[in-house]
Amino acid sequence: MGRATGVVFGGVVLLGWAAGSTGLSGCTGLIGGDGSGVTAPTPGPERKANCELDRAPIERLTPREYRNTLATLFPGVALPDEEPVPDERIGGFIGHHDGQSVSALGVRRYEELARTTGEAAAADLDAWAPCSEDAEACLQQITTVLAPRTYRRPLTEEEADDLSALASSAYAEFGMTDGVAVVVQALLESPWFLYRPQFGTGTVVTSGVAAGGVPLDAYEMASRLSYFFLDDMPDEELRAAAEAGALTRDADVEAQARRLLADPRARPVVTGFFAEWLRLYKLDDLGLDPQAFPEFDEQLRADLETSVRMFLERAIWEEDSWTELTRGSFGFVNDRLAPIFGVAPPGTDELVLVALDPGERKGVLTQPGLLASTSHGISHSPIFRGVTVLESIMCHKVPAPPPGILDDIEDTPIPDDVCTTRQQVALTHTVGNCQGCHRAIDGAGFTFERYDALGRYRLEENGCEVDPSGDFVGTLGAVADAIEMAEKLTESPDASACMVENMLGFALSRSAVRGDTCEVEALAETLLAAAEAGEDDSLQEMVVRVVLSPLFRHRPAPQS
Amino acid sequence: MAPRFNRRTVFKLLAASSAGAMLPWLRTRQAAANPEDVPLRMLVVEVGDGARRGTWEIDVPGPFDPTSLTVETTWSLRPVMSALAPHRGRMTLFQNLDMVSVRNDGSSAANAHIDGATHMATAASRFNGTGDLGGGVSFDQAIAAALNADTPLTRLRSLEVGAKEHGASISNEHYYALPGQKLPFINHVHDIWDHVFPEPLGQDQAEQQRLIARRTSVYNHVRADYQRLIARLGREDRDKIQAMLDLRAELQETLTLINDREANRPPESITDPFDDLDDKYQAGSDTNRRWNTKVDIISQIVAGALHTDTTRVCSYRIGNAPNYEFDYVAGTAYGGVVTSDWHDLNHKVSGDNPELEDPVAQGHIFDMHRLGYEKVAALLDLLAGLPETDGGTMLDHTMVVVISHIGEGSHEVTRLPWMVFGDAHGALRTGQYIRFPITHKDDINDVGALDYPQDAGQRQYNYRGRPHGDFFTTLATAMAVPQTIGEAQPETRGVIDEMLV
Repeated sequence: MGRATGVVFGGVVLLGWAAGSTGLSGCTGLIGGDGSGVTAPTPGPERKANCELDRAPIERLTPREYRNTLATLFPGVALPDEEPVPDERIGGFIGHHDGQSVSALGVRRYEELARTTGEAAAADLDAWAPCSEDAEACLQQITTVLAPRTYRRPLTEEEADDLSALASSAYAEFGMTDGVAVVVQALLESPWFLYRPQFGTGTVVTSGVAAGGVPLDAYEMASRLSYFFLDDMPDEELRAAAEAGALTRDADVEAQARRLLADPRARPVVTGFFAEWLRLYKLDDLGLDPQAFPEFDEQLRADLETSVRMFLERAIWEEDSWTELTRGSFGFVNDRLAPIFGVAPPGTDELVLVALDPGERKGVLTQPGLLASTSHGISHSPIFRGVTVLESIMCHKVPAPPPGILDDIEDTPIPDDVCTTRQQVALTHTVGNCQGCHRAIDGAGFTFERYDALGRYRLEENGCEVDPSGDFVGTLGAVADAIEMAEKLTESPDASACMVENMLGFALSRSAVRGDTCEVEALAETLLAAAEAGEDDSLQEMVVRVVLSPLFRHRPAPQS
Repeated sequence: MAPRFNRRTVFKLLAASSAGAMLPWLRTRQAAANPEDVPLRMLVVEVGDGARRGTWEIDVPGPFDPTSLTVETTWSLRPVMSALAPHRGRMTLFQNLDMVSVRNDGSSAANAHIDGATHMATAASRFNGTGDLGGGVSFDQAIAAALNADTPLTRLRSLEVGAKEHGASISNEHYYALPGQKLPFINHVHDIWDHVFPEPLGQDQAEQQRLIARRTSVYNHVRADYQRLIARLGREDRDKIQAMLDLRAELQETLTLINDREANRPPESITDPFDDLDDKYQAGSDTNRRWNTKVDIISQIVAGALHTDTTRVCSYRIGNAPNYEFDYVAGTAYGGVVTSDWHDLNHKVSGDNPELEDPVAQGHIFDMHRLGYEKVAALLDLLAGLPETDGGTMLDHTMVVVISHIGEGSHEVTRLPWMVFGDAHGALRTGQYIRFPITHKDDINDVGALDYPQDAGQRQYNYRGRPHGDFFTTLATAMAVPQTIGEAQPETRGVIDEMLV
């Protein structure tokens, strides 16, 4: 089954994160020796020792980056609607290099897109090309201008010669229009276009976080900045900076970072990071039984998602505050969402900003769209919620249940006096060694028990009072409910470090590695200190700091 | 290399497939005097979620002796697999085949399905300790690589297709070209068709030559660019980019084939509905009917790909019907809960002694699993109906391997309901039911959650059987490309001697 992994048991989605037997290594890790089976990042002193550059795998353009780049290369041209084969999400993110598989279908799609784009571009030279007359000289000129933009760097002499030869032969053999199509297709199928190879330049750094690494060259840096902020190729200003060699200096990189951050095109990209970090995409797969939730339909799903995105946009771009992100009591509501938020309908289909009761909702994790994203079938799932929060907010690793555990769980009798989902889940996790993992999972998930499968606030379930107390083992500790959780989250070193770790991984198209830990902690401390002091805990500033990080600007030196 | 063939529509193929009607492309192939002159193919079929324990395993006569290996030749398929009965003489069915490698994987799977999914075809620990990706080359790719090691045997080294629902992620695909490099399957009818039977180049011969020349110009330049990049990369990146170039070279073969201009592509008005499946709740939808038809169409294309010698290794994921008649809301409540979700129901009706005794629910799951084997049977029938040039059939020259990423709805990866059809040109014994020994609980007790079968002396045993890597190693031997596949486990013994002649 390719669907979400779960089993509904007695009204409870038990998706099987149960503790393993002694042979399940995933459940042997401890958080501070508390016996929980969920593993936290390596703590303190040992992490401090891990400050070094690690892997820098080759990155391929994501489908979004590919599409944007074509539009920039060929403005005004009617480009094909098709897209490259999608990447697989790794750790919640599109663009992770491990999710960029090589496949026959993918290669075929690249060929088709390059061919059809080449034909479309050749048919409309006036829209984008530096010349359009039927002459080999024009084709050579087009090639000379287009190739370095496509490769996002100057060409080597050998490459320039090869391309010139291709243009000459293509013109001679196929004429102007087909000749242009051939050149464009060849450029767009080149791995220098599809990938963003980075080799670095200069001398090996011998100390600090970047020790053992070499700086990216100016063109590599221009691409990294541009795709990080805009999902697109470098613009004229970045190219000019690269040509001037300016992107190897701190001040120049910072200036470009701030310029790009202010570009409206950066907004959906940066907001998109936070949405992926919080795994909002899970809402796409939400399947609720129409008989149990007759109000749920595609429109409501879309509203829920947009509402969360608008919350993020306000927290990032208007409030620009980690505190607002984690503690803000506001929401974006229309008439359809009003019953779910528990507020009066605003009298419009448009989502409008409303203040929420801070005793009921506080922070992005209490937004209905995120709460609903982990629901399943006919019920909310404390286990899904717990796993998602632990993995995405605390960067804990939660193991899968051992094979066969569900048989034992299903053999567990349910007494008649069991009323709430929490009671059922708690009961079933007395089986075997379940508590090894579920102490942490359930402790986090139960915190949200005052929200049903659609994220509606409630005090009772099945006529029984719900218990929203939880325990974030090894991190936030015991909390009375999601409101207290949100307050603790703002000041949590673990949560801020996890957000930074995810942002850094997003920027580098890879998962966090041990060598990142020094930098992650240093970055997180700045955010936390500002939040604690009630000062400028700027999320935008954190984005700039990530860009200025040596990890973003270096790669390991090639092995000799 | 593959013969050049005339294109025919899927629907002509459908019409022609019954009882082995002569397919046009056979006229282009050389008659073979001996069966050995006809290529041996391997077709890997992944069915949905296996079959519920206790519904398919055969009761071997005599006292239960879990420590001995048993090979039965007189046995009958149980009802859930009864559709395969006409092919029982060609098959070997296994009991206690086991993904032992899952238990020895040091990493944590992202979820319980991924546990089996990452190991199903690799028999190896996950990639770099990640929870999502397989860490070995899958057995189909290892065999395909070995078959094509010296010189490409066929235009496509291998073919990976699925009848998965439109819009789903590639999470359901479990095959790896390299460690960590998952192979996305082709899931759309038109994409599969175009991949197997290349687009026509044009009616006019001069136009065909011109198009080939264009494509060659592009390819030659792209290849040089790839080679320049590959020369500068470290090993991990180099392997990945080299794989891209290899596939691009394979595509070039396809793009420069000349074939006639019969406009035989299936009309989109007919095939598009079958590409629009979605496995979310769809009360009242006709997704099951469309899934059924889509599987039938893709099966035809798969048969055509193998028959034309376009490839000799094909991995085909049939999967589950998206919403197989599960309107269970009106059924008996279970623990106070009812569901219309087949996924949930499949989990609930699992294990040897399911709590959910509702015969309606069990009937749904039984039908679901049986449907998967009916699709396998239909594919076998299709191959049996295609004549080969030696006078035999495609089925005589195809080793069909049926697997699943879990054993059943409980996520269990022991007691895998796996099987193989065909004698692989005389390499494999057929008509067997092989029950592998399992481990005494006192020796290895790492599966504490499982039920423990007992022997006559009340001694308890784990269902820890023969590593599935041994099965793959045996298949590689049968395909005449012997190699060890998967990581060594304590129970690893190499080839399964009882399978080989």
